[in-house]
Amino acid sequence: MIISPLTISLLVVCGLTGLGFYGLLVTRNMIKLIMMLQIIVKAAVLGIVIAGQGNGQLNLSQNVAITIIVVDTIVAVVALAFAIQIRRQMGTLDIRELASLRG
Amino acid sequence: MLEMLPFFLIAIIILYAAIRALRAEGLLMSALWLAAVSAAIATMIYMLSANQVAVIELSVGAGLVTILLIFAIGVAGDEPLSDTPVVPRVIAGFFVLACAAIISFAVRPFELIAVEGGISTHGSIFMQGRDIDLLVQVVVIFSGVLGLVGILAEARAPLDYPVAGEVAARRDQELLAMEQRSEHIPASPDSASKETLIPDSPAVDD
Repeated sequence: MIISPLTISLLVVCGLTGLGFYGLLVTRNMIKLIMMLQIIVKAAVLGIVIAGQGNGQLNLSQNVAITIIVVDTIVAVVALAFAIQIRRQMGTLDIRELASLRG
Repeated sequence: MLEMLPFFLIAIIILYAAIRALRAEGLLMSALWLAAVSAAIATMIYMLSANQVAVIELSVGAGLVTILLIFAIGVAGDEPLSDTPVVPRVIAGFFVLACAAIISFAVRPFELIAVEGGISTHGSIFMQGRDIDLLVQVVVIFSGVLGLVGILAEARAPLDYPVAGEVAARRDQELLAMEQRSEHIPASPDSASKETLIPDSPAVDD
């Protein structure tokens, strides 16, 4: 196995994705869930840059990565707004408490 | 091998900061470790020669998102929760390991494959080569502005101002108005007849 910068970066991508998924499954706090989602998206951005570097289309991958960063930021803003409003209305950030809601 | 050393160091920093962000007790510390993850990822992206993405990741990921998270934590409060996870940790770990195995198997024959055709510049792709994703970004940014309005909205929740409080306040006003009205009413004949029934009153002595 040849150790190259791209290989090390790919290992980081796999590790970050695993940590993010583990956090999504384990965490109960809503704001922390948003943080775990951020970790997964950062791993995806890093993976896209690695792919662009690998096949010689770095400029294209940079454009895609910029788009992902913008969308991820907006998703974080909207999710934080939801979390704050849920905290004001329900008085908790625990997703187990929210799971007891019935429509 | 020596040129790999910076990549090893940055990789270790990224994974360590991500683990600390996951296991931190308070939300504020978790947000700060997340900023450290973002800064280290920006460094790694810069070392992979993607300068524009590195700059944007550092400014947006480590700056803007961290400020938003800290502001949201300040508004919503750092609520201490029990350690009971949603999914048992063993099952979650097994699930994550299975996913990691699948991903590793998918990217295992990773090779440098040069794509045929001309290579466009970053500026030409960014300004001319985009079509529908630009429109999507406009819509998404508009949604983000609405989300910011949601964060900065007043804390006037319906549960904080129940109807019973308004009814009680209105009743207090009515009682106060009745008291003020009763002070202006002169003594009635009934009250005078009651005074005559009192044995020690001057009217009885006469």
